[in-house]
Amino acid sequence: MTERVAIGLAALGHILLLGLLSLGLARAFEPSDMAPDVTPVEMVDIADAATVTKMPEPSMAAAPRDAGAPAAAQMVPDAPLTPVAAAETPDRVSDVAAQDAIAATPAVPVKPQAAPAKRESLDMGALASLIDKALPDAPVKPRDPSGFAKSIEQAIPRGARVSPRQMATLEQAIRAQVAPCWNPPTGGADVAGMTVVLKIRLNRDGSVVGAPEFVSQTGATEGNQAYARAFVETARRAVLRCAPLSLPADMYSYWREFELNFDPRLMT
Amino acid sequence: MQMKFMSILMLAGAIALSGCARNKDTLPPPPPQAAPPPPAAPVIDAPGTVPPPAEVGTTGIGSEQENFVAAAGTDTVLFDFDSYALDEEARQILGAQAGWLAQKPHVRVTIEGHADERGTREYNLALGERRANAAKNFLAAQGVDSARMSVISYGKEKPAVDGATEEAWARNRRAVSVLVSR
Amino acid sequence: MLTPIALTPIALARILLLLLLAAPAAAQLRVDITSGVDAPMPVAVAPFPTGVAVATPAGDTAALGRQVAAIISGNLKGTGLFRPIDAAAFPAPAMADVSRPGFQPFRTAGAQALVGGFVTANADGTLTIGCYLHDVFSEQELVRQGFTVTPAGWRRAAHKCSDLVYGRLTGESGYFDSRIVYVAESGPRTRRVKRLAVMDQDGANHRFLTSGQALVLMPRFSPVNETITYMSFANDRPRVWLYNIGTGQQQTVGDFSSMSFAPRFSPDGGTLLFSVTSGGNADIWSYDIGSRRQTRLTRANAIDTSPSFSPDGRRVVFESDRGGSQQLYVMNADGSGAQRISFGDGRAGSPVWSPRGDLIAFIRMVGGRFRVAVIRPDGTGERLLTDSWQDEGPSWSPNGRVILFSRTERNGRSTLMSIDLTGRAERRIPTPLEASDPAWGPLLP
Repeated sequence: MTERVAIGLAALGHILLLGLLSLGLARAFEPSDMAPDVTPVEMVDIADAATVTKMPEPSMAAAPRDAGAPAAAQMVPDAPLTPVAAAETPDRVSDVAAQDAIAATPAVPVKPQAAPAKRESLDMGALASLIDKALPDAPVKPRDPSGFAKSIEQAIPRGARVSPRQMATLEQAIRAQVAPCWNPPTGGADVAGMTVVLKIRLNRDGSVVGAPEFVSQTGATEGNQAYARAFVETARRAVLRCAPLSLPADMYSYWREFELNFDPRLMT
Repeated sequence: MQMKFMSILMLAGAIALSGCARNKDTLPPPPPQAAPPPPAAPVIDAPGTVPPPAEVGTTGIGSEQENFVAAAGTDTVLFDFDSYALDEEARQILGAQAGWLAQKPHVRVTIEGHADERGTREYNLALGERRANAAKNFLAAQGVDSARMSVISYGKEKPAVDGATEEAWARNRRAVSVLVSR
Repeated sequence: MLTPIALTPIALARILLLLLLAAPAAAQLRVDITSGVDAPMPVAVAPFPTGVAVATPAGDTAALGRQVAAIISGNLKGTGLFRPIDAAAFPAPAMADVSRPGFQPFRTAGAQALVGGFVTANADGTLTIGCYLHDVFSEQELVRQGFTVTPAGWRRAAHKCSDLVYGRLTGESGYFDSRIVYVAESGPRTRRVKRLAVMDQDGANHRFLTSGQALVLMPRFSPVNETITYMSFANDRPRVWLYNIGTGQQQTVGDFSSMSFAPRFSPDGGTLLFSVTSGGNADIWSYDIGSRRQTRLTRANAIDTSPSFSPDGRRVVFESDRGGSQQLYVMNADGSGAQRISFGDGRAGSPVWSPRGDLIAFIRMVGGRFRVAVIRPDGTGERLLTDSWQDEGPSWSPNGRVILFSRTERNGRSTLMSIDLTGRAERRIPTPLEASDPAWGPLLP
């Protein structure tokens, strides 16, 4: 039985070979420099799988929950600012806008026409300010001195003094709770030296007021904007993931508002 | 009885196949694949749909190669790891090969260079070429006309024996003199 | 908008005073977070809903929605950077949830990001596959895009969506909508049949390109079009070939009387580099595909091979035994100024310059084993990524984050593997037969 199969295969192979060779003979006279091993095979025409950058309307039409809302509003890819965020200082809003503005750079393919024009002009300015901040040697963000002073006043409870040791313990408590929530992007192209500073405002229960605010960033260049943005987002995400933070209540004035400097240089 | 008949048929088939394979260097380019496998579904190679490749040495002229091996002792010389130097044994073998070739001025020879698996693919192709050239140069020095000789390297693509042992590697580091008719 | 405000002397004095009073407590607490979790980011990839399930040649749209999600999930997982969460941990979204998902279930499931979308059949027979990425904690939509494809091309939409998500979350370009060319192997090792084959990056859409009658080795994709270059032993003439896999047209490269091998394209696809032997010596040549001009670049009495251009096309890394053993060298594109960059134990070969430019992948041979390693172009920072019997033929993903290679076990079995730059996401690429010499093609348009 196995022999029969073997013979069959051998014969088949031979016939096939002869057939192929005779075909090959015919090909040999074709005036072309085709290689012997040529096998023109069917290719999936990749051009057919066209990528469309227009937004898929069907989903919108089919989304009952959105039925009452104007379709255009649903098309805005920029996440609406949360109410809390919108109620924050102008400083804050512009920072959020700046982040959104990056989203408007060519790195993101879809930008529905529905985006309000008014918003766009705001984004341009915010983008400029962000680029300014992104420069490695850019000076520290100018601040409103009166506001700054006021915040320092508020940070120091009258008559109360906290020892350096207590401060170190507080720092350690924050670090210990935030670091395990941070998934920094590793192995990125231009990663060396990239850091971001966020300002955090906390309620007494340790929950985050609004969203962490972008303060400054180092290591961002023209060529790594998308990476720089993703980097900032990992830091924001870390804070939100870890909230509410559990910190000593009697030191609230110290952690009511503070900055976090995310710097992965110690990670490989 | 039937078994025997089958065996003869198989043998005939094998000879016919090897005959085709032997002449492949003079044949026109092979044609397209009979039927391209359908996309999206990985197709396992069915046995028999692909002709077997020529075995090492099958490009030679059968009977002459036998005579050659009988006279020279072997058609193969071996090398040390990552080396193309001819040792004393290799020189003696090549000397005997040159003696036989001197008697047969009409015979052409291709020297195939091979490497063991312990080198990268690219490097081993170059190393096989060095080995084949080392053998060719020695034969030329013994009086074999260079115009009768050609070299080809298969790197580590055609080992003589399978296996990841010192013995297998030693047998695969080789240059083989293969007689060809033109 | 931030506007600088002039500091009046009074304001300055007030601040200074406050700073002095505040000591030792800093004006504002700033905490350095210098470490994080070096672990894959948990993401949720929800099945893509469809409004009304419609039968298509590729299956009904509801089933496609689940398959699209499965492909995206597999792609993300394979990067080593993401950990897709089991879909049982959260409810499958309805069509209405796609653009405005409820985030709480995904937060509870531990996801940091949510990948969603939908599949709909269009009147003209095409499919539209929508792709959305949300940040689960900030509850923001990060990116969205739709893809219209023929039913047969639905997998590409899933890959495009994967690239979109990967790009938005990592800030780097993806590599999922791409193909791999490699050598399919069958038969005993002493009589191996080798055929060129091409497939999607994840092993789908596999097809053979050659019949196996001629020994073929070292295929490489052009970075710009559908051409591959490879080495064939057709007619017992081992030469470098060009093969347009779109038209099927093939041609030998250059006019050489001896073996040419180890070809590789320049970054612009216009030039080939390869080795040509001459009397046991192997030198590197360049070949301009347009003008067919061939130029010899190296002249050392040595084995010079495995050339690979830097992404800017100005330098070439190659291997040579000119110093006594197989090592890596970097030279200018005109062949001048060769400098050895690999040192240390053992031999080094098969270098390939990363498309990102920052690293060179190569094979470190030490203790009888071949291991995939990376090194900076200046020769510093060597790092071993794999540890097996014989890992060979490294090839970069289009974004320079993943290295594809072939692994031969001690028993001779050969398979395709990939490993990411962190070294933690090693995985096998499925192939119908044994496989070697993989080469990653560019991202598809």
